Amino acid sequence: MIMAPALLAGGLALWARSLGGIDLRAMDDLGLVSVLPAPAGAGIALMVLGFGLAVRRPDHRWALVAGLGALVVVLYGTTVAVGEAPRGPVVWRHAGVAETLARTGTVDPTIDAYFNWPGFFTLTALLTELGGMSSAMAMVRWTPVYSNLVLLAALAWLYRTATPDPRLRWLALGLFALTNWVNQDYYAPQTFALLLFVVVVAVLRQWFTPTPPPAGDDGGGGDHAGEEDGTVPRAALMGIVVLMAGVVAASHQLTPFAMTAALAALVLVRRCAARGLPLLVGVLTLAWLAFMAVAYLKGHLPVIAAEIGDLTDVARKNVADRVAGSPEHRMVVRTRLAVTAALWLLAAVGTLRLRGARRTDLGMVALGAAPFPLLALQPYGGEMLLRVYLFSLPFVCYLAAAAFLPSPAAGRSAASGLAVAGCTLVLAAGFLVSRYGNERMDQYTGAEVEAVEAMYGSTRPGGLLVAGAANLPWKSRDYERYDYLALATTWPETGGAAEALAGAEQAMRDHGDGGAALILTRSQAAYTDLLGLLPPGALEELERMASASPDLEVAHRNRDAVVFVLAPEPAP
Amino acid sequence: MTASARPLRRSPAAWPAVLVASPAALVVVHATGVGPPVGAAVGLWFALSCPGAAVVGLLGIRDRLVALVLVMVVSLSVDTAVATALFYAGAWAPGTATAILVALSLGGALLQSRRRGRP
Repeated sequence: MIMAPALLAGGLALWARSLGGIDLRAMDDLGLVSVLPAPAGAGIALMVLGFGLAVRRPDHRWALVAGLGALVVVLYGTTVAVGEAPRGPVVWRHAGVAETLARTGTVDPTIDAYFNWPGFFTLTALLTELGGMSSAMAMVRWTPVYSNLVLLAALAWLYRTATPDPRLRWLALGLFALTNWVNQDYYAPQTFALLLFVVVVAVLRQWFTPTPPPAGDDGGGGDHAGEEDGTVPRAALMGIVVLMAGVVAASHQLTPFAMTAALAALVLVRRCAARGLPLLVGVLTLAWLAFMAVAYLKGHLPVIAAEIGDLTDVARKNVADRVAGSPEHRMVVRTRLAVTAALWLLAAVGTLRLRGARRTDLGMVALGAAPFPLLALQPYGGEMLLRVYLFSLPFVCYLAAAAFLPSPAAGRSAASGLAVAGCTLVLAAGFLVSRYGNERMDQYTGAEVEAVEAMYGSTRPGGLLVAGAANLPWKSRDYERYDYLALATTWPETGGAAEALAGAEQAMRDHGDGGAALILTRSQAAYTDLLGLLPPGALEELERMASASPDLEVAHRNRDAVVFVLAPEPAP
Repeated sequence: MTASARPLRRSPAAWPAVLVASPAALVVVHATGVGPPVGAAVGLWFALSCPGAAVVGLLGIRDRLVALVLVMVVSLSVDTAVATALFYAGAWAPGTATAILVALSLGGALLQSRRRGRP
């Protein structure tokens, strides 16, 4: 009884004591694991083992709640705790979009795609104002931790609709925490929309499940109010579902399609009594596209239409093109593929074992499979496989946990306990590699943020901001008022850095009001090297040439970044 | 009948009080210009709990986990719907959005109090 809390507390203490030994600057292209001190890794392993032990005694709920919470903090908060700034370029951009909305008071859909699905950003503008904050950046840093905690609370509810066995529910929650490596839990519309998606499904399973279950479905014994139950007003619940579906339609491009597919799958296997709901959500989705996202569609419809059904293109962009970059990075990508395949295999085994135990829940199986047709829709910039993994993950984790605990009577042996321990330890190791494999480029230092500030100080709204690659903490202010140029996207086939620099200088000279600046940072070089976007060392060479150029002068330089502006014209 | 679907004719006793006290605290914080972290905590608490509690408190859900999740998610959804509608209507102003959400909270408190008062 004392073993599980002791392992959890000991592991947490070991991890916390090791934090100071993590030097993110020393990372190679394997990411965090390359600098993770052995005691920190051991601490995480102890916590995983402690949580696994606690799952076997689910009557000690406080240990499970505290253990899972601590595990989430450790798994999702390590680099947040030791990093110097919010990671990745996207959160900075999202803060900039919200700032533009708040400053202008209008939605201009011609700016870019964000302004065609502005729901999440209008929410951000509102929260920023209500909180009296100067920028949304004040609340983004710990988002991966708190978004996972909130999502796990929603999943705890969802899993209760699937099984009365608390061990199965807690193991499924633990597996989710160990396998949500896809980095879609930062401050973003996807994070928000996934939460709403899960809650919509939970509401439908709680209050709109037909009773008795159809043939072939043993129901799993989960907590359903049943369609005859009249204690909670159905019309109000349906109103809430439609409200959430509408908010998702206004906030994210892809999630409404995933939600429609999931609801249609539930109706198909006769596990949703609201049979017209998929049609309603589909119409909402298409209506938003047709009326509110016209500006986006006008510019992208031919490309989107051409990509529909092109599975070769999907496979190339989602798998083949991703196994690229430095040797360490290719290893990270292969680990991600292996973790994904292992989890899906476990889910398949779990589905079979549930069937053998006569505890099949067709709804969970259908929900796990529902996102896969999205692969035929379009490659989504090479991210569709990741998104399919994400949308199926809540349900796949339940089925994977059932591979160990298909019934309340199963999984009591020592061998079963060892199997759970071995599997969760392997998944934890896979998580650290998969999630933090890009950390060398995802981390920004204080010096890089300082250089971006200096870049804004060297220019005015209306100016041109040039970077070696689009991986830097920019765009968090005056988002729509600057022009941006990332040299890596137009890097010349011949001539290399010299040609790229000449092009940059020309663009800076040709730009009108607002001035122009060229910024080169440590994380840009890490990005192009790690993903193999440019020849190794290309941006370092560009920086040497820029430093020697008579047409440029240094506006700001620190140990991680340098900002150049055009040198004044010599006097005649 | 399940635990989460037990009949409920009354909302939890504390909810109407929270739905009145939270907007009051928000108004005080804004009027006195209290900034982060206290101002942020009060503002975010209001935004993440009150709009949802005003609605969910009327549904008769006693299960704590279900109510907690629904309160937060419905709050976020209502906040988003209000803000998005104001932006598209060209009527965005933080004060207007706040006034609508405060009115919703107080309306929810009133309805829940009246329901509690019924025999």
